[in-house]
Amino acid sequence: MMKHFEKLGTPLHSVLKYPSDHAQTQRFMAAGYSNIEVNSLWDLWSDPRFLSPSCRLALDEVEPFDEWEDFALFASHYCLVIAQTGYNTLFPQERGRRDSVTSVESELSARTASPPRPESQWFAYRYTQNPDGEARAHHASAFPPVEGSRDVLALHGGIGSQIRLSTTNLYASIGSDLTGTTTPPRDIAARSCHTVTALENGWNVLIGGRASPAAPFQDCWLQKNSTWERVHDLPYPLYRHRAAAVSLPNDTYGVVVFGGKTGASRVNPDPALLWDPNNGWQVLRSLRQAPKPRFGATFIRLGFNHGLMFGGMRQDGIICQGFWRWRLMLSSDGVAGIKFIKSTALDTTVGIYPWFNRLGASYSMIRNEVFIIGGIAKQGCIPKDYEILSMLGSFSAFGDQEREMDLRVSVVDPLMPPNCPRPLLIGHSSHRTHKEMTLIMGGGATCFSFGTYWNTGVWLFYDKEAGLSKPWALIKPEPPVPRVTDAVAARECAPGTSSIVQKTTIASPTDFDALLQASKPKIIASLDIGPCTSLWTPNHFKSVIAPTRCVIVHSATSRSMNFQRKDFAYTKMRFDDFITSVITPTNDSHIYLRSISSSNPTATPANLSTDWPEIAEDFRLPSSLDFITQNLHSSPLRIGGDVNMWLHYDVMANVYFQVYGSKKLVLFPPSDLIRLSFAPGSTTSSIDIFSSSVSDRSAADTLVSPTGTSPHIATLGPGDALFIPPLWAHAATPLASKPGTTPATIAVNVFFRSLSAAKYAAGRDVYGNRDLAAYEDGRRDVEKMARRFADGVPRDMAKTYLQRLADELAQKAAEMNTADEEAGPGSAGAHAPAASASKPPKASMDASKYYSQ
Amino acid sequence: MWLVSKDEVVEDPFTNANIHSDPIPFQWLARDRQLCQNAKFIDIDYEALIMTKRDIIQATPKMRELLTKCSDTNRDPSILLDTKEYAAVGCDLRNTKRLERLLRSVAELDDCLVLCVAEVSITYMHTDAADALIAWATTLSPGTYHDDKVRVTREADCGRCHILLAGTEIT
Repeated sequence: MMKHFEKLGTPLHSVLKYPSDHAQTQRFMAAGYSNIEVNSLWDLWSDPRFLSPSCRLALDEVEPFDEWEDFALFASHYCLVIAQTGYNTLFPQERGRRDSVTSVESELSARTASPPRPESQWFAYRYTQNPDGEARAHHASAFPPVEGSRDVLALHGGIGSQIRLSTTNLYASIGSDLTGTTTPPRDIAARSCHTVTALENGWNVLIGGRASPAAPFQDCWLQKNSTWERVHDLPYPLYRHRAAAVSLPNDTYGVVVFGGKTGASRVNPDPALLWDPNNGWQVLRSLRQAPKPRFGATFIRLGFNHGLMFGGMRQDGIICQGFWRWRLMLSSDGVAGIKFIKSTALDTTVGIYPWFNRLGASYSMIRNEVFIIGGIAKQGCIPKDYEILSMLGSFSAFGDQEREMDLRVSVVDPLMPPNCPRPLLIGHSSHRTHKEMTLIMGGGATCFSFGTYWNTGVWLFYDKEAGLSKPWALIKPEPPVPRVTDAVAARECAPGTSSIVQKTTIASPTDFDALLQASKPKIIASLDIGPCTSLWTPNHFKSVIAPTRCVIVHSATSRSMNFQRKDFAYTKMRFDDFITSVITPTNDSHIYLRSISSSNPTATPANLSTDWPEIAEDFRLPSSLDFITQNLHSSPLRIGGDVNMWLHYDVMANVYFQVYGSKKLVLFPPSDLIRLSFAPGSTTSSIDIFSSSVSDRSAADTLVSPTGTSPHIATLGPGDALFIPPLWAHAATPLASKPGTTPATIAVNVFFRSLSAAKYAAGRDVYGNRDLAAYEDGRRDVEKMARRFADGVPRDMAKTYLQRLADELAQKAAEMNTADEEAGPGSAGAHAPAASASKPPKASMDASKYYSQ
Repeated sequence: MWLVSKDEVVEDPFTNANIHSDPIPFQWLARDRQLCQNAKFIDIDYEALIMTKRDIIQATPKMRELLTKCSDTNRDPSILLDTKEYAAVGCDLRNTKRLERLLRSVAELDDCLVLCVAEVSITYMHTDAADALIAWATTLSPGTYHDDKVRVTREADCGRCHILLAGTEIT
């Protein structure tokens, strides 16, 4: 938010001096006002002096709206200060407020009560970044996708960075066995705000959810063993409900569903619903007083048939207060109904209380302790100290419904290791793991013009004393092998024979331009790139670069690194320790530095001159490469030990300067990408292109190229430069100077724009690998096309149409190919006009279609 | 809403300082003229902006028709419009001395209640200037010691709260 206003050139000056309600009150007191009232806009939203319930309800008719958390976050960041001189207040006072100043003080004491104490830090976070910045928010659903005690969790649906999702992410503790995991089929329509509930017998039930707030779903799906099948529809469409597994007589397992919205502006009025596999859905009768209808409540299961319920939002947009126990009542002849009992076990005077009832919180359990995680409260944005609350109670004696339980609620302040970002606990999901930990997945919010924030990793929340066995991470599935059209397959699926990248020399900008136009990799020999070629060695760096400088390096346990598997860690090290690890032949030398910006690594691309001023002077581009200087994107420094760089492509053009040591690079032309397991939208491949010798681990790796590909091999020695055209996939392995020694390499590469700036995606591109704008937009369009067919079109029709569209696209791609081949080498890229010229006239294509029928 | 329920508050001038053309005066004048009969809205903004605003008002019959008894504005070039219901004044809010002089030339400050409304202006001003403006507002009329002469400042520290307060936004 602050960045947003700064970007607009209208920084918020006073917010730093008066950051809180209390500070604003003191500001106006100091200026001489005697009556001061400060409210956030979120407070005013529920304040009858400003908006009546009917006013709020009337808004439902204006626009289907369900972004409540985002709205609450936004409105919590604005305040209205009413300050008045004199003694008779001219404004209606907030109900129940005493003298405004003292009431502000008392409110303050409530808000600042129980600050985090070191002794309350029983828990800690372990954070793992997702590959490719993957993120999903808006209430995806978490569930265990495999029976038994394996540590795997799935997150289905939600909204991704572009679009609502029908996919499932798998998270697992590193090294977990993923075989047998079953995720919901992709043809379950993309949705958010649904539930997936694990029953006692290992089945999972997926219930309802929504597309847009006005398009709720009624369908339900059951996963038994390895299959998902559609089961009874809900009696009405439903989203933002809560669900809990229950046990029914005769070894039957069912789900109780509480609350939710049945449409854009209607809250589910029924006390609860029950589903079981034999009878389908039934509305549960309330056996005592029923809580007010609500959605997004916290509905906790504590035992086979009972639990707790609190929070949630009423029809008119206010977060409910009060605390309830629930129990599914069984009778001799089946299910009698659901009993809610209002509990007084919660001390409403403690500081935590205002933050207890929430909308959109998740919950989890570690042993017998319940954790309420995130969401928003009636007071709006939940302060960091109160984000996670712990509840301990006499839950075991809870069977006795008539007796009040003992309950202790306290704040939880998880220890954040260095570099662990704070999770935005909005629209997230959490689930317990088998090893008594909790995984927090997904989450993020869009705050109108301020833009969107996504959690791009997972947080494992665990008991410090019990310790952490293995970190968890998002596991990218092996992408399915893309379908190759028969003609292309027949022509190109011959066994991949590798060719050697040829050497050339560049004496002038004209030579370099020719190289760019040819768009084929070439080794550029004997370029004058300054004294670095004679000066730079790992030991030289040790003597000129501050030993205490911290660097973040890729650190692997073997020579192979795979970005999709994430079988390496980002480790922070002192520079001198890093160099020592690189040159000392130990098992720790599987380590690699790809430098990032020293000032702003998340926003600014690497630049040798500003990031490494001590050595930057030693490296310079000759004037024949002026084109690079003029179109420079970034210039990272690369220092590597005995480790391979995974197969990936860059979107910027690239010249790679090998300065010290030797390296083998394998490159594949862009047309090979479809055979190299690049998932849609990913610039990294999941396959390992190099294979280590099993008998001699120090021997150089051999190349394993997939069938039908055309690998190009480039062996680079000190002083060699390699031109890598955009979209040429490449991977690298270091070469030891003599057998048995540890390879160490130093290189600088320069990324530069070879196309006009408008072709690149707008916005941030720190690594030079953001796909072209047309591709990013195209993927959105593809998703839109698929969605239009998914909704209300029979599957066989939808499938056929989508395949026809795919063929049409394949045809267009083939036309481009022909143009390239016809024009011969040397015209690639430039030469879209050539491509369209060679295309058969549209009319004749259509005509031939008619005649052939 | 509290403006409606407390009629006595609305007896006297409103000071409305805002950067964008704030629709509040015209909304109230159009919605409940009776309630506004003893009130005067004074709109203060940078000179260039208030000129634009004046031009918009004069070019918009729906707004112009709400204003009566247009006074001569030649007495000070910073007073761009002065009617019974509404005045448009160009002034840098950092200059409270000048601000007070201009206010006094369009309203009988000492005989009325003053309600100040500031949104983005106070938010975007440098903190010292904003604090000085807030403190200055407590000195507006001499009725400090009389309960019946109360001055009121309402500050909405926000660029958009007028959506909540007044319904629609004209920008």
